[in-house]
Amino acid sequence: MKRKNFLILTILVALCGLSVSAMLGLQQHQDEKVQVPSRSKSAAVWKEVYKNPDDMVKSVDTIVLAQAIDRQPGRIAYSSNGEDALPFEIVAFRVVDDITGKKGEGIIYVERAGGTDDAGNQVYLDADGGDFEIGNSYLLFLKRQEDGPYYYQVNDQGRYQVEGGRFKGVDKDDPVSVFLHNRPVEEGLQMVKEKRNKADKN
Amino acid sequence: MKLRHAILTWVAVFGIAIFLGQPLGTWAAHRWGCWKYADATINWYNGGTGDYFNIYNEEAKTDSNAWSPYTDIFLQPSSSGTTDHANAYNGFYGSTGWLGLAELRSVSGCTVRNGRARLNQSYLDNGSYSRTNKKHVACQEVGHLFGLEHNRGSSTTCMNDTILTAPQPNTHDRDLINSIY
Repeated sequence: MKRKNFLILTILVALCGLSVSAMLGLQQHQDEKVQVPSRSKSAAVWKEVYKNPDDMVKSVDTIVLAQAIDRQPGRIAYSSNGEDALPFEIVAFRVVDDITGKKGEGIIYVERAGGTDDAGNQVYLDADGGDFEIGNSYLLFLKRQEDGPYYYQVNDQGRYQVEGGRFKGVDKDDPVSVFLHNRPVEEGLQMVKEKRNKADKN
Repeated sequence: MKLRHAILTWVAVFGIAIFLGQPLGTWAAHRWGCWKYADATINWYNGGTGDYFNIYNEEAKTDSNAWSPYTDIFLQPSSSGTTDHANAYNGFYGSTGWLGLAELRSVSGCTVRNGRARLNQSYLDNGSYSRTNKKHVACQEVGHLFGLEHNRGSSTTCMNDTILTAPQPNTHDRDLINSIY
């Protein structure tokens, strides 16, 4: 084979490899994340973004395995110019297991953005994982509001729905969510408890 | 050159190319779903109050690397609306956990008709956040509306949600936006 032909074919093989690889990488990403939406979408800059599960376990006020039992409309917050309305809802949870060991909180209430605004529009926000489904159980990492009576989910790293006996995180690629995503419930709870105990001792 | 040696070389080259090609695939991975406005001209309503009006204006229009002059997107100043509109607000939304929120409220297939950016003064005005931090959040929320996802791999873009110190899009954001519109 002539040297020139060999070089041309080698370059073609390299380009094929690059193209195939790039296409596979993009396709994999799109399979995971690109879905034609049926409702609206949202994304947030969270106040707290944790680099590892230990930081999150240590930072939050309450960690519970809890079942969503009720959703009720809450306040409506307006923008400072008064033109934009953002509705909130209050979700009630029956505590199944309180990892933080606090007693006397059989029912807890979590406030989140979403619901129906003052014009009757349904506002669906999924930056935190979306609407809670009544009857489903969740492992929740919560903080108490500084200015209200409810808890709030600390960020999208702080919610794990129980599905088929395993935890399902909101963003399975997140370095903190990876710790619990797809882990069996009992095993996950045990690991969180150990981390919390360790944090309490320190 | 013997054919056997050539084939071995090509196999090796193909393998290396597959390995090196992965970053190309992830280049487009910072796109947020399939969502985009119908075209690059978007009605822009700045509903910010106080310095938040200036912050939104700087991030959207007037900074040298603001979204509108820096990318192919053209933000047409407008009153608030729900058709091909990007609306920007700030407010005291309370203890929500978020500093800023981007919402694509009205979508048809992959086409965005009404996007809203919100900045949460309950946190941003508590003295813990600099003006640069506020600009970073504003820049990111507006960037989401145009179809960009978080990007934790770069410290030079406002689309990184783990830092608050890069109040501008970078060249990667610009190239990605320009490939979308």
